Amino acid sequence: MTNQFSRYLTKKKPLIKRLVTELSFIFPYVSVLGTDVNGITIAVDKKSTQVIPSQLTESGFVIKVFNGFVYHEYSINEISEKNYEKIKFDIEKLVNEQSSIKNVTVDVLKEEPLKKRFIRKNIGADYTPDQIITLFKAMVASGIAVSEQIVNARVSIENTEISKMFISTHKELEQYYTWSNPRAYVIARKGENTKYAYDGFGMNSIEQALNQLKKSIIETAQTALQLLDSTPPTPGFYDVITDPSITGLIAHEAFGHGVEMDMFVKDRALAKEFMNQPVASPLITMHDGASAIHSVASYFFDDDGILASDTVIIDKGILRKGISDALSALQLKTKPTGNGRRESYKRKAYTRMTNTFFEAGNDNLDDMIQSIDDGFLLVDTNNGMEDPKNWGIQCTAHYGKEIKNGQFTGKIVSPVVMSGYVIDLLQSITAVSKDFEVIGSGSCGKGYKEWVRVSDGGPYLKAKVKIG
Amino acid sequence: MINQLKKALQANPMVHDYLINEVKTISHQAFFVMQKLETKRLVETNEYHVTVYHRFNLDQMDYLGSASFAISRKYSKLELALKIEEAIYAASLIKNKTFELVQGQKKQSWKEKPITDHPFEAIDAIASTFFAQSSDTIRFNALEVFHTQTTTHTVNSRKVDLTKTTYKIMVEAIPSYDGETQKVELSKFYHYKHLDLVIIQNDAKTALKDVEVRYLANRIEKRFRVDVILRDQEVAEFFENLISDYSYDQVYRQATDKVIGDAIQKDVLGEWLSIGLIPTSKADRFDRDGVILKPIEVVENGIIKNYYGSNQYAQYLNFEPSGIMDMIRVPKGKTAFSTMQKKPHLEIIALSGIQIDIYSGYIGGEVRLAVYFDGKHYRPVSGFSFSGNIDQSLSSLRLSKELTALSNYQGPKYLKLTNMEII
Repeated sequence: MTNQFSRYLTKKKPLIKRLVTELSFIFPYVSVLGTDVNGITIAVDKKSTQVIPSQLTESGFVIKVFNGFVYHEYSINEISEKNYEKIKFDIEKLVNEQSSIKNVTVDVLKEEPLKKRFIRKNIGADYTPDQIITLFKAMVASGIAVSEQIVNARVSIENTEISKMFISTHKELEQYYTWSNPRAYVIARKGENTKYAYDGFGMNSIEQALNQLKKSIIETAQTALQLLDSTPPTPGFYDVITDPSITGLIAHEAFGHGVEMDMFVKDRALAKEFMNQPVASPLITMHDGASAIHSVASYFFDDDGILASDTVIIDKGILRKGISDALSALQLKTKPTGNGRRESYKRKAYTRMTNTFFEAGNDNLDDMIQSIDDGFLLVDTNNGMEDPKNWGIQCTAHYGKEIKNGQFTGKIVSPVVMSGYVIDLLQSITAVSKDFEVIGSGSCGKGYKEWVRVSDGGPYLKAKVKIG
Repeated sequence: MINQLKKALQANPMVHDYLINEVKTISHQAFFVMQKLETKRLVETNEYHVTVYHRFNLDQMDYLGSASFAISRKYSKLELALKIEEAIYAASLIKNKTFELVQGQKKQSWKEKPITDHPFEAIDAIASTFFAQSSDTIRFNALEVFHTQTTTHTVNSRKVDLTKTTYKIMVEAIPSYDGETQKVELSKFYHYKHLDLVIIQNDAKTALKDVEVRYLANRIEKRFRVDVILRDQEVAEFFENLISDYSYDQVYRQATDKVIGDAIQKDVLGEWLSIGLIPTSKADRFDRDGVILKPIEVVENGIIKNYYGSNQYAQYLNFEPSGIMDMIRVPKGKTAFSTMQKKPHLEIIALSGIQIDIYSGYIGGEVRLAVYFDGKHYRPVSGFSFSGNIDQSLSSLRLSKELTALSNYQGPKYLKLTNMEII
């Protein structure tokens, strides 16, 4: 980790400012987003070691202009004296491409003058690849040593440092921050029966991440062994307790996607018609925001150059507010919330979630478990799918621990696919624990593409769900 | 840039071999909201993925360590030397089994015929065709069109120097219906290799018809068991999951206990399965390692016949590498779609996402739209889930005679799973 803002972007800054100034003579709005993201992923299992670039690695620019009718973007790798005139020519050519289809009616993005720099360094000791590989080999060995039934164990860490610069006529912003995502994955086998377990989390410290991973690999191995005796659940309606990862998944799929306000512009979200109405149990308060908590999506400004915020989406069961990118907010005549995010400099910015969670409540987890006659404690997010227009929901937990008469029976079910109607699910919540955890290792797509890193979480919830 | 990279790699004596993957992308994109143009984008990028290899001997064992880095901007000579130094240092610590890089023969290149010389005009024509099918209440609330040209150049230290250029059009469409009592929508994805406005018109009409059916759909309130017919992308995902554990790297990592010659179908009452992998087009002739691609049968008549995948892991298992291919091919089935439809069934039109867990034998998903036939009448249904056991499904499944071609799958359009639980 360099723990400092990209020298490359700093070097490019005068030329980018010149480009913004010159294009501003032609276009009423001009901005340039510059990204320089470096990272490394190191992975070790029983048989091999990998050192590869982080999936987030990128370096490029998005030049955005508005010609009074339509927003245009040009994504490129380089801005230099050599290609400077070509860039200007290509932008004008792009803008001059005629379309036979009418454009939306949209105003120019208005900006308040703002000049700021943000730095968040990695905490604790830095580690060289050889130090990490040595530690990982010991972790893999410890995971495999848990049982003869463990056939392979894998640990990995993705360490990333992100530098972004946003320059427009009125704004000059720079941010640098780091993140580490460790993961554990274990395969167990008994005869022809194979099962796997995983764990993933995130933090702004390689040192802490590695320490936590030591413990995680052992626990993951123990979970894989337990799963060897698992069976799929019998379909039906059950009382369940959701762990913080499943709670987060519900928040994310139920009302995270549902209040992405670019979906309001496209008339794709039912939530637009339910503002200030009850949509969940009064025990539920839900947030999203890059500044709402410190996790994987805690940037200082978004890819539209809007400062991060904390949006209270649901307040005591009442739907209060959505999240937005700059262009959607402009069209809806609302204030943008700093949720404009791109998968990379090569993609468009959409309204995206950041850190999404339910607030903690007042209930004791033990009391919640004891209150279940026939149900499950659902553990570990697998995946989920949203349906903002019709409020369907599908959330998959990797496994569930059976509860009968308030006690764990020892039986494990896997996988557990919950589905149903968002409002039914959220209104069925009858207890919210005092515990609180946000898991900073998720990836979220918009529909089936545009992947960005997100965190979600919250307390344990008690709800009634359909398991199919 | 490739020459600069090659020179820098050759200048470092610790670099015993190298592999460079250059990907050049030109993408024209347009985003429509409520059938009006909102944003237009142009992407022109050049990105490099470099892998360095270091051979060494320790305690009388030979090892080949490797490490990769990505570059998407100009580096000074010094910066590049430093980047290589960091990577080769990491590689020198990695005690992986040794293998040989792909040996090149001669410089070769393949190029698909461009779909169009005027991408934005083509995008305009596609969007106009979609919108022409709509009315005030049934329309596309969102439409995104991407025309992408990708040139991949793979070079290694063993004389591999291969180039391929491919083209594709991708459309994400959100057909929406504003009814008297509610508004509904579906998500649709299309991949085109040719600009055929008749096909596009039919896709648009079908999408709008499907969303109208969703509006008419009722919830299923009772629990019961019935045969389920999947189609297109869900069929592709089903087969993809079935062979995912038989890649060389998954076998090497012991993700499966199954070996070549083992059966994946038992007590077959339905149809025997054969699943293969093929290149996506005539220009898709090599993979990221420079392996020249050849179609391979992974499963033949229910038996695992071959593993598949990358050069490195193929050599670890003493196999000839097949190369990495993205297109699944399944032979035509024996059952006509009309025969599948004779008995009571649910034909699924839209799912949240099919859930398949090979290890638990689980298959299922939340259904957004299906057509239910009870033996006498057809009716659209939604808001329920289906689930079942994969092993049981494999013994009784039926594949359609009708075929489909998607971006990642060629084979039967329909697949029938028997006796699924509906809740």
